[in-house]
Amino acid sequence: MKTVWSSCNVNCGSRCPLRLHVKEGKVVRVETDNTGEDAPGMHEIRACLRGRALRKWIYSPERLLYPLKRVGKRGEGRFERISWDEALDRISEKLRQVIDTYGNEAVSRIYGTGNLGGVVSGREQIDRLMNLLGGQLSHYNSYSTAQIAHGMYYTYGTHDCSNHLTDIVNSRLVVFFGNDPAETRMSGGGTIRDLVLAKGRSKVRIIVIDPRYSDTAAGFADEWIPIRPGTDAALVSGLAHVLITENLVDQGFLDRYCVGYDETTMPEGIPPRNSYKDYILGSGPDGVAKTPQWAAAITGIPADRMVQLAREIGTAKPAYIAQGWGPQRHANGEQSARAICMLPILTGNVGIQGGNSGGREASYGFPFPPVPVGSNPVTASIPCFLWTKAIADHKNFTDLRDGLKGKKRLDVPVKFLWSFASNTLVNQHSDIGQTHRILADESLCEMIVVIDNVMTSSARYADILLPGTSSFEEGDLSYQGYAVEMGALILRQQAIEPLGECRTLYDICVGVAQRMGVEQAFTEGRSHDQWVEYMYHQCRKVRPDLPEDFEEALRMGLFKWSRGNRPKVGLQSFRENPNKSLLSTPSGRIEIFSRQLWDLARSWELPEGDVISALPEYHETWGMPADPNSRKYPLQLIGHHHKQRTHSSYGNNPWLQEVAPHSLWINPLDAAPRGITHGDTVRVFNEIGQTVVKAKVTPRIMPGVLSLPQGAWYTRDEKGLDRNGCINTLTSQRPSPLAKGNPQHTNLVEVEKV
Amino acid sequence: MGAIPKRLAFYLDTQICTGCKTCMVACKDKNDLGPGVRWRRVVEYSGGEWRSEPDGTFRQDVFAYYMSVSCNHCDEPICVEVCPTKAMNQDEDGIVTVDQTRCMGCRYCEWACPYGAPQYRGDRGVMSKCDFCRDELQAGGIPACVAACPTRALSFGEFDELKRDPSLGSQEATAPLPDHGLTEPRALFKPHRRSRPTGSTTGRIANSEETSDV
Amino acid sequence: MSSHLSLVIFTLLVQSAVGSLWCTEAALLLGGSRFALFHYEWHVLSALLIVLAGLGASMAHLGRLGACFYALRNLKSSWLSREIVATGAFAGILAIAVLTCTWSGASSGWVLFAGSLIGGFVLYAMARAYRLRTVPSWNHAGTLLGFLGSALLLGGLQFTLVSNVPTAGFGTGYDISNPDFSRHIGLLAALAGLMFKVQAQGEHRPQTANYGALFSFSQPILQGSGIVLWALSIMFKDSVGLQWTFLSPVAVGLVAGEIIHRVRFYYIYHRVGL
Repeated sequence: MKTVWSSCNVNCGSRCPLRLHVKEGKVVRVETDNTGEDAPGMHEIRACLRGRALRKWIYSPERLLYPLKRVGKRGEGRFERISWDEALDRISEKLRQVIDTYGNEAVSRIYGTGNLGGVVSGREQIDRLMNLLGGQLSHYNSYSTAQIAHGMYYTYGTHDCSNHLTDIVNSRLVVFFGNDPAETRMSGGGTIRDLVLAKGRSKVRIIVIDPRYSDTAAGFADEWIPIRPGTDAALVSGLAHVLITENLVDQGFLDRYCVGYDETTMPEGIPPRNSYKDYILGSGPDGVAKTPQWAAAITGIPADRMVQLAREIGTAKPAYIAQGWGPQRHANGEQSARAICMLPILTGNVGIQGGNSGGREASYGFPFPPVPVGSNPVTASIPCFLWTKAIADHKNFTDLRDGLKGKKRLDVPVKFLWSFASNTLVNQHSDIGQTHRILADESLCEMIVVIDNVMTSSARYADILLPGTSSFEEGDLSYQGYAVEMGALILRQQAIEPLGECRTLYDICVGVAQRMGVEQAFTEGRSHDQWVEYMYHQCRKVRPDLPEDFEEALRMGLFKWSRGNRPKVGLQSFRENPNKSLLSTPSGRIEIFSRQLWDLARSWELPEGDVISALPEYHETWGMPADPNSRKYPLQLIGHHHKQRTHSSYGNNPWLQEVAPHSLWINPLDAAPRGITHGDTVRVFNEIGQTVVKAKVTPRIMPGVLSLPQGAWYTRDEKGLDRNGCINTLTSQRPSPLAKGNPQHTNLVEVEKV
Repeated sequence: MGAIPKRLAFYLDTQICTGCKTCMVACKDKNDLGPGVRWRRVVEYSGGEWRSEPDGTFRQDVFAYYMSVSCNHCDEPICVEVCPTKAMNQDEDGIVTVDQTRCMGCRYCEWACPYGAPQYRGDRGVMSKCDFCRDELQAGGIPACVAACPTRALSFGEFDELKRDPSLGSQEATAPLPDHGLTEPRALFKPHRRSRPTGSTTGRIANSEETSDV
Repeated sequence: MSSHLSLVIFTLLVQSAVGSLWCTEAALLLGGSRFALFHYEWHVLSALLIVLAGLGASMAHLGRLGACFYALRNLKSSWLSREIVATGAFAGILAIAVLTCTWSGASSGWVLFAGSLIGGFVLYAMARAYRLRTVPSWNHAGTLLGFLGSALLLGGLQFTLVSNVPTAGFGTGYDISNPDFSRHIGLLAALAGLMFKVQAQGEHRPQTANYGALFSFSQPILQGSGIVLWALSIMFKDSVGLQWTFLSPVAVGLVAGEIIHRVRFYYIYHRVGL
């Protein structure tokens, strides 16, 4: 029996060490970090339930074991086994043909995060390969943060400007907008552990604002304020109205550090009455005062509670106000993200200990290097959410309409898709029905190469489907995640032989490189394991205290570094000296009013109903209660992150399915008139599609709102009906106005008992 | 082999239990438990009413909390009392275990235990249950669930020592646990700030499909 | 709680056997010399066969049959262990009675009397086994009353049916001197049984199980009408054919009602706590 260090490498924000007990070539038990004294700040990075259930994933009877070639139609999931040579030959031939016929812009690696944090095993290998072959159409944004990254960029110059979560020990009040670390940062070494420690030490009052009484609310909130999805900017506006009219704003801060609060700091050339204060008080262009009464009807929060909350926020000094990534994943997400930041801005809580910028909590870690990918000769880059348009309608894909960067218009469609450890192809992208129609047409995208561990719904659409190694079968380095206040390095050892004919991504890419004549450039003469050792030595440049001897490092397996004494304060140097430490906004200050957005709103081609505004404003969009569609589909639907999976990763794990079954959250006030009781099978539907799932009737979700956890594996029965509760049968491919991001929480549906 | 202190007890800080179920899975992994066998169960107890106002707003008093429960190795274990074959026994160290060579799978203990600790193994036709990870304890380690808990809500120790924790708060049973007097459970649960007294009907167990097959 | 069909069958059969032995004992005690020809051995044999069938059914409930002999181990604290031992002893006494009847033509009255007492203890132990302090929906006097009711009702029926077998002409040469009497005892026992069941129902706490109206009303309707029909059948005591015409639906109704009632008993299992 031997014990080796390994890691769990999914997109959960964390990176947990695992200790695998291996007996006779099989992993028989999975444990986690047990090093040190578990002292706060250098505590055990304990894996959550998903990492602990890994044996059932790795040894799943559904593992892909051999290369496969599609024989039916795309999506039917009918394949025949081929050899590795044939698979790599076909891929290389087609790649050559596409590049020769259409150019490198016709090749793209689709967004995917099913394997993260592994240096040599990660998706970067494909980018490295493609960069040697002339490049590929790249993507920007993520499915996690498109709208907040863009929104906060225009306010602060970056969205990475927050305080550490542990800073709440210095706060008088904590307000979370849709932030749920108990289910999105579950690692015992990460944010949830930090929240426990900080709350334990300070007893600070925590308010959670969320349509759902999340597990974070259950564990930590002193108060839960339910809010209609997508209306955070309305709430903030109502709160701002109180703060302004009751003189609770920090006028000094607003004058010195910000642009656009009132007429005195507006940029030149902007017509009068376009300041934030005008917007809130009703002297702006829309003439509507954003009173608590106005906001109450929109948000569902009683006006008196709003007034109380505003006074709490206005008088608690300092206040840690933060948002998760739920409020921004809406059709008006950029507005919500910027609006939530207004609360710390109005009250001067930015850049101080115990305060926060309004964004998501900061991370800590060392800049261990990724594998070098070289540079991409192709400059064109698309928002990651619009990949289907790049396939089906490239002629209309422009910079002013679709956020295309590096070019004005796409010249060629995407003909060749790489998909590695990704379920974006089908499962995780909106409107699966629409995606199916596009992918089913083989004259559009001509080649789809999928590399994965199991037959996911995306894998069914592959032309060539390759079995990749899992984290048990491949050694690598894993760096600390970003949801942690510790530095860490895990030396993952290969615990077992690859199952079947599974290969590492590196070896797959070498196979293609060989056929395309770039083998030497790609490998630089190193094998997979030699690359791991090489990257280890690159890490030593960042942390010279790491052992010189690689073998010794392998034996030790796990290295951790504490972050030091003080929790980080985002934008602290700016706060201390705004004239010296300018923000990277055009004015160098916090841009409540963004001139850039003012100009964008006037130059971009926006569809009817899409709003870009210079100020953080509330705009109700399609898919919200005022949409005429709501007569047929009166319920708002969001898709929270569920502990059974990490997005869609691990979605077929029987242990996880047993302890955390997938279900639709519905309030008794909505369930009762529809005759739905807890455990009933229900059909959720709208004009886009439908799905069948079990109902969880609970008061923990707001009336008028449903939540169907995202990531369930799309599974069609013979009649074409998804029986597994996949939310993306119902979501829309219409992107958000500014970031062109995924509005996957903006949906209207109806539900009925089956 | 180390000596195990007598009267070990689990201690759950309900305040910081987030219902993540990592303890359930760690136990399943260590003991290779099959489908439907749950030596540790995390229960969600929730409730509250909603009132919609004419202006489109809502008022509510929703609450929810989680409790992680395995076997409480009670001081008056009803399972031991009622087992017809004496397969269920409480050993000298206070740990209650089931002797699978004696058990005939009548499931009477399962009927009796108010915590759901005895779990039926369909593949063998006998009962099984939490044994406090006795093998780990003897080797100087700690129970798998305790080692796994990401928020450190779960810990364990000598019962009388744990009871002296000044931050423990009331030791009265909270819903959905039954009255302590039934079996004198040797386990401590620091009450959640929204916890209800045992027998309360203001909430209900909201996830019975996760904790049992009935 | 699943239907536990094997336990439904086990409890009903054993209770029926006990009840019919009680009727037999009552017939012997009340009859005196008038019923010197009363052939109780048929009743004793039928009771034994029914008990054995019941024990067999209970084994279907076990996950690991091979360990069932350990079930006698916890007489010190387990009512289930005591129930199993008592049922075994009950079967044993019946077997002795059958054997002595077969070998020596008669059985000691004391054996049957002891059997009746043990049978009573079987019912009591059965009820105590269900009266778990953690299961309030079972932990009340209604459980024992219900079991007593079943014993009397089914036992009375069993006693009457077995008594009627010779008069249906099965050609054994057996002659019971006064079939009316057995019918009366049986009917009276069944009537008493039904009353115990009604009383038991009154002991039940409000239940949370949502079994429908079918469940709630079918049992009293089936059994009430069964008793009425049975009483009517006395008018036709001289016609064997009509006897069976009446007794067949009576039997079906009473047994069906018992099965429904017992299934519901398991259905209302509700444990405190988790």
